[in-house]
Amino acid sequence: MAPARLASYRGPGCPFCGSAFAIEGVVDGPLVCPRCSRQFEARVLHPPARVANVLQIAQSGPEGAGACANHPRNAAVTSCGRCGIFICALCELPVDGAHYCPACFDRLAQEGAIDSARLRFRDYGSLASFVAVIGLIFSVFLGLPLGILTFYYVYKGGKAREETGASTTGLVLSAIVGVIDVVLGALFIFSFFLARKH
Amino acid sequence: MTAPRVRIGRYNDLATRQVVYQTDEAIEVDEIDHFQIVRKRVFFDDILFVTLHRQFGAAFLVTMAALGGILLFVAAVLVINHQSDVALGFAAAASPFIIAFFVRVMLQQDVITVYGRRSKAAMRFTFRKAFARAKFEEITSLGRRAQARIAAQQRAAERRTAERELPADVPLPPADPTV
Repeated sequence: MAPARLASYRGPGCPFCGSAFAIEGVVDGPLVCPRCSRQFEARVLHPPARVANVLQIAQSGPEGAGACANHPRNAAVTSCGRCGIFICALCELPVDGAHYCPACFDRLAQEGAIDSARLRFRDYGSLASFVAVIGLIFSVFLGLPLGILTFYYVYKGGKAREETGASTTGLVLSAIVGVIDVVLGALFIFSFFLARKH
Repeated sequence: MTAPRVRIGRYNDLATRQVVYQTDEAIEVDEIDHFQIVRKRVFFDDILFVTLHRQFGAAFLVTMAALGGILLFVAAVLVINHQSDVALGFAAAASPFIIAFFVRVMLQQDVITVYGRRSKAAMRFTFRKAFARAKFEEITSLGRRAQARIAAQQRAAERRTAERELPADVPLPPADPTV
């Protein structure tokens, strides 16, 4: 997610004019925007405030507990699945069935190693259709290489279909146009050599 | 492994191309930006406000009216100049824009907007009015269910912590005299 977009989000507001307003006291049902006076239907939800129940070393009893590597006063609840340090409930980041400390999570997320933390994907479906159409327009000169490139993007798009949501129809159409590109390109090369021979 | 996603809507305008998906735990918005997909999520346990409204979509109407109007104007000029065959072609080219204009004026567009703590998701439905209404109710109910589950988990965790409060007979460490 781009940081600029995050910064521009101002919380709940009017879906027509975009002006933010406080939702305290707002009830479910038809609502009129105080600024633009247009009506819309609204549902207000009350998500619970995030509370981390952190057990302190002093609370953990006479048998004691391991201390968190980042917060020595807090009792560790688990260890990081990557570096193995003890982490408390504040530091614990449960992701995809594993538990990581914040530093390891940042590193793995940057490397794209955590599936559910990935936020950027290459759109192979659009790339395939773009390259296929360009290959068709310039099929005389570039039909062959761009047709082959279209197949590559169609293959990659098919593999990443689950995570990117690329449409099967779009990929199939791109592949068909790719075949046409290759055929036209090959025909041009064949006719060029034939003309030179004669 | 990512959760299975169901495509539920789109949000396209002159500058934005977004596809909206639903997963078990969030609404996912895929924004397509120069052959790159940028994903953001509004988790059900983060939803603050959900709205449903009906709009014309001024930009769409103006664009359709302008394109249809220009083509019809050319057709009218050609009719005046006794070139009816060519004028018919221009009129035929204008018809999709005019039809789209009137369809939008008649049906309008239903828009669901989901506001979370950190991000929002929006989806538009021109034809599937009943689906939009059902999805609006479903998102609200999924949000309420997820938030009730989190609240119950937090209450249980608080109870567990309270049970592990320091017993009275365990001596506390001596106070630090340097502080």
